[in-house]
Amino acid sequence: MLNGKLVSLRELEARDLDQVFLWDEQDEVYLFKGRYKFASKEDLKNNFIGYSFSQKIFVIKINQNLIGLTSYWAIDHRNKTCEFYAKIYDKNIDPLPYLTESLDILIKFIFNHENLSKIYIHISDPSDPIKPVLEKLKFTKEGTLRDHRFIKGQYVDTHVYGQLAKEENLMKIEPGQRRGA
Amino acid sequence: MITGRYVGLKTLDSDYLHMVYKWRNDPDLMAFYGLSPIISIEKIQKEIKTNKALKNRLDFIVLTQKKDPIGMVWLKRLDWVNRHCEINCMIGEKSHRSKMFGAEAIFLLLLFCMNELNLHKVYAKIVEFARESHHLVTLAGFKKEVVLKKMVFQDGKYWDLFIYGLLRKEFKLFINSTKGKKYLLSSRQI
Repeated sequence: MLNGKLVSLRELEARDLDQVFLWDEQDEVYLFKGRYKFASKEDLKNNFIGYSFSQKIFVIKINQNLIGLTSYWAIDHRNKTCEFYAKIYDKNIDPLPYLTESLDILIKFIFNHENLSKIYIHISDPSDPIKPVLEKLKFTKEGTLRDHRFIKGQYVDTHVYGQLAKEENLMKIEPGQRRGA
Repeated sequence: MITGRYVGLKTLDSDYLHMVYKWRNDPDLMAFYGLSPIISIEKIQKEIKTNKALKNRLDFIVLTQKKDPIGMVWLKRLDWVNRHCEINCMIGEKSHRSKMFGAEAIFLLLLFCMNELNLHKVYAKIVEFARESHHLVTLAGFKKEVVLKKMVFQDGKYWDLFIYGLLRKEFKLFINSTKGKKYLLSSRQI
């Protein structure tokens, strides 16, 4: 369990799947993350094992109440990179402080425990509440993939944000050319 | 077979296993693709078979007019909902690099993507130091969209990874331009 002042994160377990399915029903986050909606609870449960092995998924909790999910995937151990996302599904709370702390915990975990050196995120929903959080956490906008997703009958852009682990943890790039380049 | 003026593209199969083995074990070449330069012939054989069965990937061998294999081009992450894919080109034979063979192979594959697969967008990921590849995709009308900072570890250093994108409408503009028409005329059949 990873604990913060407002929230704690623990790995997603089979007992959480009913709640995850409900969130998937209510929210259209699956559209923006380029995955299909789970057809049924059984579909989600049957795929849970494979799903949780291809990525690390954490539930975001306030005390015993689940309020959202955060995950990271596409873990590249050679280049020490991964993609991540976080979402507060509970509509009764202001997502900003909880999202900020959840991401802060997740990022520290990825850099300090998984020993990765770069994380990045794709955002296709212009009103995604994670956008101000990324700015607050000093992410760099690295570019825009034009017309990258087809959502509700139209192509939309996908914005890419990234953050590097602290400079001192990375090998310095010396000026000059690579051999053969 | 997709036929152009100088090169043709043919579906990759195990007939070309030994050539692929040679290219895949060239460390200088593999540095551009983030692939291990040490791979056995059995693993390559398995990889060709596995990739052939994938619905989101297409591999082609690049042949000269004399049918000599000189490299490979491939499409990966074919996304049928968002209608885009990643394009890759590798001219394995040193004597055929920097001589427009790669440019024509890319152009033929782009024609295939837009006219046959009916894609909306094609993108390419190119590591910072692959200067010729940057030139090649810019020539074909791709636009730089993203620079992923320090994304690739190679030769003891981290390098930026560039993502270039080409939309269908931009490709149409390109083939209607003088340069594009010249290209189009040179590719006799698709």
